[in-house]
Amino acid sequence: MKDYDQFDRELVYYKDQEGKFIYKHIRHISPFRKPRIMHLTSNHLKNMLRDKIQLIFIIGFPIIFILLFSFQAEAISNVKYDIFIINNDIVGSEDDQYNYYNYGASLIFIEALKAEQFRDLFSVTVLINSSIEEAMSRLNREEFHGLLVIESDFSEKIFWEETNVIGNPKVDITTINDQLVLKLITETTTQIVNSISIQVNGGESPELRIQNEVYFGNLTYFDIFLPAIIIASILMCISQVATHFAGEKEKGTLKRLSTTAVSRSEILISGALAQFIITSFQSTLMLTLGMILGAFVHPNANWSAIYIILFLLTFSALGLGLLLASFLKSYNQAGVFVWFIILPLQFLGGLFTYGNEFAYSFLFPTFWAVHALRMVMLYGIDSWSVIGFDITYLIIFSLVVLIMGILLFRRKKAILT
Amino acid sequence: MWKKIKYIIETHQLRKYFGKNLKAVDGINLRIPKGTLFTLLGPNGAGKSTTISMLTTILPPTSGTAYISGFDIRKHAKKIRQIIGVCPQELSIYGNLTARENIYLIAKMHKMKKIDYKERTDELLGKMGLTDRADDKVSKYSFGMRRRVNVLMAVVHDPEIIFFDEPSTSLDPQSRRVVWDFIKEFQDKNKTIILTTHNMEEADILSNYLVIIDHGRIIANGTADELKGTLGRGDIITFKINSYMHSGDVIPRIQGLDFIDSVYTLDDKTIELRAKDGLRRISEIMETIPTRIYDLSVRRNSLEDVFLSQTGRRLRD
Repeated sequence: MKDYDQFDRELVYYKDQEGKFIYKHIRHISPFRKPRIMHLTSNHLKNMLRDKIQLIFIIGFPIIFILLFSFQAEAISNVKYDIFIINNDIVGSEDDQYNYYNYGASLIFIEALKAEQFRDLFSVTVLINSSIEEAMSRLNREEFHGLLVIESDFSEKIFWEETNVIGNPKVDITTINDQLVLKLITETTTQIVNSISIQVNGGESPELRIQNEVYFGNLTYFDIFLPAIIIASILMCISQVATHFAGEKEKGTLKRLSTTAVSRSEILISGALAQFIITSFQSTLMLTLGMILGAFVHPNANWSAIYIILFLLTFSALGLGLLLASFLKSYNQAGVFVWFIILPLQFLGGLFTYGNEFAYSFLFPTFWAVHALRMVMLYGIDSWSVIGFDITYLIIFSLVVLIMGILLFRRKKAILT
Repeated sequence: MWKKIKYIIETHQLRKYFGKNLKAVDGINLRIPKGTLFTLLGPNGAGKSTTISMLTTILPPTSGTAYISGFDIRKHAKKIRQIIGVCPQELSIYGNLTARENIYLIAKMHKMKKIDYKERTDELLGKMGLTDRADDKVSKYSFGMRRRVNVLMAVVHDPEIIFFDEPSTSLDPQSRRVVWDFIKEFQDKNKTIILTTHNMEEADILSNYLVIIDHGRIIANGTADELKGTLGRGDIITFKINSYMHSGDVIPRIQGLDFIDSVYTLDDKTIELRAKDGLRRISEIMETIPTRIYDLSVRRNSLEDVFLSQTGRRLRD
């Protein structure tokens, strides 16, 4: 039986064992109410943004991080890599009008490598009358950084429709013992070869058919590491979540909230939602600032894909933060302990070791996130065949840690101690 | 929904153990009628806050149970939380929000109507003397002001049962008086109030009924007067005697007076006696003592004396 007073407040009556009314209880329930999660989220945001130190961190950290990295990357970008090429490709005579491949695909390749886009990155020299052995011994003495040997059937395989020579056009790549150099030269070579194949074969290459034009930006260290920097900043969300909840536990505000009508799930989701909003703002700020500072983002880059990757990684970070917060008891504990999670994700996950990843880097979500983000941002590739595994891994990882984090944090013990 | 209940709070052999050896609450039975200001008095670590944590559904009991408004704390936590207000011992407030925002937050958690909680918050802030500073960030408040906000957050939604866990701890006498007056007002409105404290004065002034807890067990219960009455009636007079005399020389003379209930020594030079109408007849007592006395004090029985008589140690120890 329900009764209401003049303010539409629900009246609940109780009576004693003799049936006499002993008291009435007024429940002030508003029929037009925002979900409690929204109130709690806005409360968390207000509380964070009004703290000057925290505000400086939220806005200042991405700005300083990206500015410092751009200066550092600019200094590194001045390093140019010397590439020597031995061209064994058989190039037909210009008079031979019936052989299309006489134009020499290898020459197109070399010209592309010398083009303006790569001028800051590579210095290209074609070796004439030099044997592979001779060139290798010079490479061993580190007289140059990389040696490309273009196979004799390179053009035939590029012009396969005319020549009927089936197989991938091949360039042997040998570099000094530097994984970054190897990766840079390999990726650039692959992209140029694919580009030539597409142009010659009318877009027959299945992997790159999504693009009308393969576009090469003027890649610098800053371009390559911008995705890594953004991901590193997202990882700070682990610290933010863990310290936020551990701090609330320490202050007793979580305990207080859990004596009200609000559920533990609502407390949890609102806290995570507030952090998600902050982290999304920070990621956007870094992306924008990176582009203002001249970082290259492929014109065909799919922004939805970029944000999906960033959001998935943010969910993973939120889950890891909740996992930590479920057993950490104080703000200080959280401030110290989070680094045992963040540092391996940054360094073992291969964020800053482009081309020189740790053997088990593939276990870390950051490895897949940075790969996917580079593919979309630098090469404009968002096809499922290229970044599908990365996205799947991120979805599974974020689901697992989020569910574990929520389950562990929802325990009464986790909120109170 | 109709509920047949006699006591608004009932506990049955309520226990909370932490690990195998720490018995924080060890079989407490309580029956609290509606409208009572019920005090749990005891030293730090006695089990008061743990009892409150269980009654407010924050901690599950190890065994036994309790009923709040007929709802079992083990099964109906959500319903219980809708009708209680809790003022925790620690200052559980958001420092970067204003007093008003902190209070609004709790009101919103109870889904109060905006018109209701705005009006009520203004009223409450006024009662606690915080209206002028209501829109300042709480981090800029003094400790006493923050305590008052902490108290207001417990009552904004007009709960039937209010738990105050040491609400006046570390407050200056003026702020303490404001908080006590505020709590008394709810008592007048027939709300049920559960108060924990280790401050005897607070327990004495506010309580309708109190229990003294030590080591997780109830060692005494009753109204403040009943408990103090168990120690005998009259004033307690304490004094010291000159160094060349011993208390043994003085006591037989005092015992000869017919209005003296009891006389005992605290040490060789300090005598304490209980006497009916002792304050008025103090000159008669002094005349029987053949030496000079000093450090004379007269007081009534206190809850401290009750605790001392039950445990052999002082509440503050």
